[in-house]
This record gives sequence, structure tokens and C-alpha cells, in this order.
Amino acid sequence: MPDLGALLTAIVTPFAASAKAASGKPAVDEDAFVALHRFVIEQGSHGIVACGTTGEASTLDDDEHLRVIQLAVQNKPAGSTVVAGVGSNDTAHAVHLAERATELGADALLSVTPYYNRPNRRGIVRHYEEVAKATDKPILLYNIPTRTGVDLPNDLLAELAQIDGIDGVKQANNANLALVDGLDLYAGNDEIFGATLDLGGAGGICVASHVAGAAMRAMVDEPARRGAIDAELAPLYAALSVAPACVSSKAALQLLGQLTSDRVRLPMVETDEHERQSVRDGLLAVGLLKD
Amino acid sequence: MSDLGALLTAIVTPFADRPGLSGREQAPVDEEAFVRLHKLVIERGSDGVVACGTTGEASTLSDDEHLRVIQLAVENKPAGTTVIAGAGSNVTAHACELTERATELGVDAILSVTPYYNRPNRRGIVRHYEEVAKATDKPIILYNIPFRTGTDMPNDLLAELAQIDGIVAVKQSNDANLAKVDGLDLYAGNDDTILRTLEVGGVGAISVASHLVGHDIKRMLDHPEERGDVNARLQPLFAALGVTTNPSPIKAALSMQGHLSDVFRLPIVPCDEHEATVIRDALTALDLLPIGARA
Repeated sequence: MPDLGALLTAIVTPFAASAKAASGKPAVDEDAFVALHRFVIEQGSHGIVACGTTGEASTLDDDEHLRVIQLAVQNKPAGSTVVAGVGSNDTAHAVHLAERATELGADALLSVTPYYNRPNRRGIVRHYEEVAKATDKPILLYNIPTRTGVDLPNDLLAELAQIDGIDGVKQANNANLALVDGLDLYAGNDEIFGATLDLGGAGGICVASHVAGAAMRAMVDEPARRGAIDAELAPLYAALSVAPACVSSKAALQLLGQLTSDRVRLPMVETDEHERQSVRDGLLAVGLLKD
Repeated sequence: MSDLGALLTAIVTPFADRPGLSGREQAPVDEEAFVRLHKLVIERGSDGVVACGTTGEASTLSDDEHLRVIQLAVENKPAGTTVIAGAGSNVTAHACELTERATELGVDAILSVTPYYNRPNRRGIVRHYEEVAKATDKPIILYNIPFRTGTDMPNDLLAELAQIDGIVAVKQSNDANLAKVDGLDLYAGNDDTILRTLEVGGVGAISVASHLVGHDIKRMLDHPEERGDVNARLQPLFAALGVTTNPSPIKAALSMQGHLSDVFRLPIVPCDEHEATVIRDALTALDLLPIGARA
């Protein structure tokens, strides 16, 4: 697999502030996305995952979803990578998104386990065989049973690694965290980024790196400081989990002046006062905000 | 009995067998088989159907197909029965659109599952259902199934949601939460908890096994003194229908009975030989297969 980089940010999709709250469907703010993409790379990320869960892919329609991927590819800073989130619990739809993202020039694809309909093991294998046929780009699996209702145990990951083109896994089931033959291992939760690097994993697909990219990049580049930085960032990881990742990340970026709007689409809702204070406290604790 | 009926079958959506389809092509909905099956399910004792629920493979239907199946159900609804439309989504705007359209098509009620995968917080869930409720003048049944959605709706949240106009019932598939909630009719969401649901004051079941044994389950609902015995007799069938992910087993069973083709859309796959044997054995034990198809 080509080197996608060790620190990838699961970038949020900014929405414009103007739409009425009741509509639940504010427009994608394309300028804000491009500016944020640049900021995230400047802070130290090697690349981004566009239209992942944190990018609110669930509530983007296909046109918006592919447009965001296109914007990411077209405005990709030199030397950085764009991974496209293209998962679906409908195999035909996952194939369609994988094909289109490939045409748009994404460097790799992130394909989550089918959620909600809970396919069995044979169904999961068939699903990924079809997705793999739809692209010549590397595919990262994404195991997150707390969302999907289905775990991909490591022996199934090893089986899926036999499919041509399946080259990595974003592991968000902390209990399964281990190297798997044939797959690059990416941390799927910020709090296991350090542990994943220690294990010899390829890196992490992170959320806190929207705001703490420099420190998280140092965890990659300076292994001797990794543990200390990881411990210092713990209050930030905790603060960002006070609400769904897209919600807390947008609040943090707004507090830091990197986004003008923290709007999300229903069923996501913006932080309430208490959650916002927790995010602020997290940013203060790691020195990203000053009193 | 609730106006919506006590025994509702989460009806499967038959797909047509089209040899030669590549893995990525979708088998088309078999509309005639759906209408026949709908009639059969009612003859077998159900008071109504839930069309395009999870068992109806709503995840892999396009919106046009989804709404067409609901339309077929409404247009061919046997007199005195009900049609509830599955209209859930993890996109609030999409859930509202499906709810509006199903309402226009003439359904009797809406089944609306918790947003799955994106895991909204509690305030988001309330806002979601407020919007869904505005989209219809029909009763709404909530659907709590955390092992699919990743999000549990605890009973105090259900009680809060019951305050929203139009939210009248819950299909409870989290056995740990099984209890009557103020302001909501309680439906069993799993066949193996029908008995307990009725014991805690539930009004009925949204069932899968009722495709096959509706009259037996109806007896559980109507005759409390027979409940325990019928439930014990049906347990092996309930277990067999869980041998792999729903709806693969129920479609296999209906296929063995000759009512439809055993066709699915990926990522759902047909039962393998072992799973099919488990199902055939359970059907044979209850004398539910014609001669020639038995184990």
C-alpha cells in the first residue's frame, strides 16, 4: 500500500450558519471546508479522511458527499493524502460510492462494516469482495461495533486481508487492538493512538488532531515523547467525547476561531452550555486556549 | 387490543430470482409474491403487517421501492387489518420524508427506529422524533434495538418521548428494558420475549415467527392460560429463526414452504447448508412443512 501517512484527521464537514435551525439541513460550507483542510494539514496531519462518521456522512446526500471528496482532492496540500469515507450497509451503494470516489482521485477508501442490518460473516466477506472490485485504490476496513452492531474479530480481518486491495484497518474496538497479518493498523480512537504506534501500527485516524495536530504529530515523530504527550492530551480526548465527535470537534474549532459555525444536521445537535464548557475546559487544560 | 392490532408481522420483502445477476446487481422486488405473502400472513392469524421494517430489508431498498412496497401493502390490505410502515432513518430529514410519503399512501401507523450508527445524544433523539411526529397525523411506534443501532433508549427517555403528540407505542427489542412505560403501548420486538412482554402488560408483538405460526402466537395473546405451553412449544422455532441474521432464516423457511424465493440483497446472504438444516428440522418438528420438504 502507498504510504497514506501516520496521522490522518477524520475531518468534520462544516455547515453554513444561515439556515433556519428547524430545517435540520444547513448547507455544506465549501469555503470553510477548504480552509479547515489546509489548517489541519498545517497543524501536522499527513492527510485527512473526508466524509467519515465525523464528517457527518450519514446526513450528506450522495451529491454532497462526493462534492466534499472532490473538494478535498482538488485542494489537497502537496505531499498530503485524502482518504474517502465510502461505507454503506447496502453493498450496491457502497460499491457506487467507492467507484465515484476512485474516479475523483482519492488516495484510498475507508469502508465501514455494514451497520444496523448486521450481516453475518459470509455476508461481510461478500460485501468487501464487491467493494474491492469497485476500485484500484487501497481500502481501509473500519471496525466499530459500538456503532455498527457487528464486530470484525481479528481472524475475520485476517481473512478479509486476503482480498486484493484490502490493505488496512481502522480499529475502533479497543479490545481487539493488535497487528493483523496483511493489514496496516490505524487507531480508530484518539486514546489508543499512542498504543497503536507502540504496537507498530501505521498510525491513527483521529479527531483531536483537528486542534492538537502538532502534539499528535510529535507522538509519531518523537517516540521518546509519545507517552508523555499522550498523557498530557488525555483531558482533551475526554472533553471531546462529551458529545458526538462531530459536535464536540465543531465546538472546539469554533472556540479556536477555525470555524465560524458549529452547525450540525439532525439528529445531531450542537453542544449545550454544559458540553461547550467541557470542551472549553479541555482546550484550556492542554494549553490550546488561554483564559 | 390496540387499534393497530395485537399481532403484527414484520413482513419480509420477496425478491425475484434472476439467475445471472452479478453480485453487485440488485434482485428486483417480487411484487406478486409480496401481495400473496401479505394475504397468507393475515390468513395465518396476524392482525396486520409492518412493511419495510428491518425484516423487510428496508436498508437495501431504494426510496422508490420502499414506498412502492408500502403502497402495495395498503392497496391489498385485507379488510379489518392494519398496515404499519417502517419509516426510520438516521437522517432526520429522510425519516420525515419517508413518514410523510407513507402517510400520504394511507398507512395506519409508522414504525420509526432510533437513528443508527451516528449515535445522536439524548437531546438529538428528542429533536429527531419531534420532527418525525410533525410529519404525520398517524400514530408513531418507536423502535428500540440498541444491538443494531448502537444507541439504547432507556425507559425514562421513552417516557419523555411519549409526551410528543402522536407517539403512542414502542417496539421493545432490548430485553433488559422490557417494562410498561407510561403513555406507550408496549410491543414485543423479539419472538422469544412475547411471553414476558405480555406478562408486564404489553399489548402485543411485532413478530417474525408469525409468518409461520401466527395462529399459535395469536393464542398466546388471546388466551393467557395457554401462553406458557404455546411459548414452550415454539421456543425451538424461535431459536432456529435466530440461527443467523434475520431475515435470512425466515425467508429460508418461507421458501421451504414454497411461498417465495430465497433471494437477498448484499450484504445479506442466504442461509448455508447447516443453517438451512437447523431451520428445516425446526419446521419439521412443528409439522410446518409439506411432505417432500421435511427433514
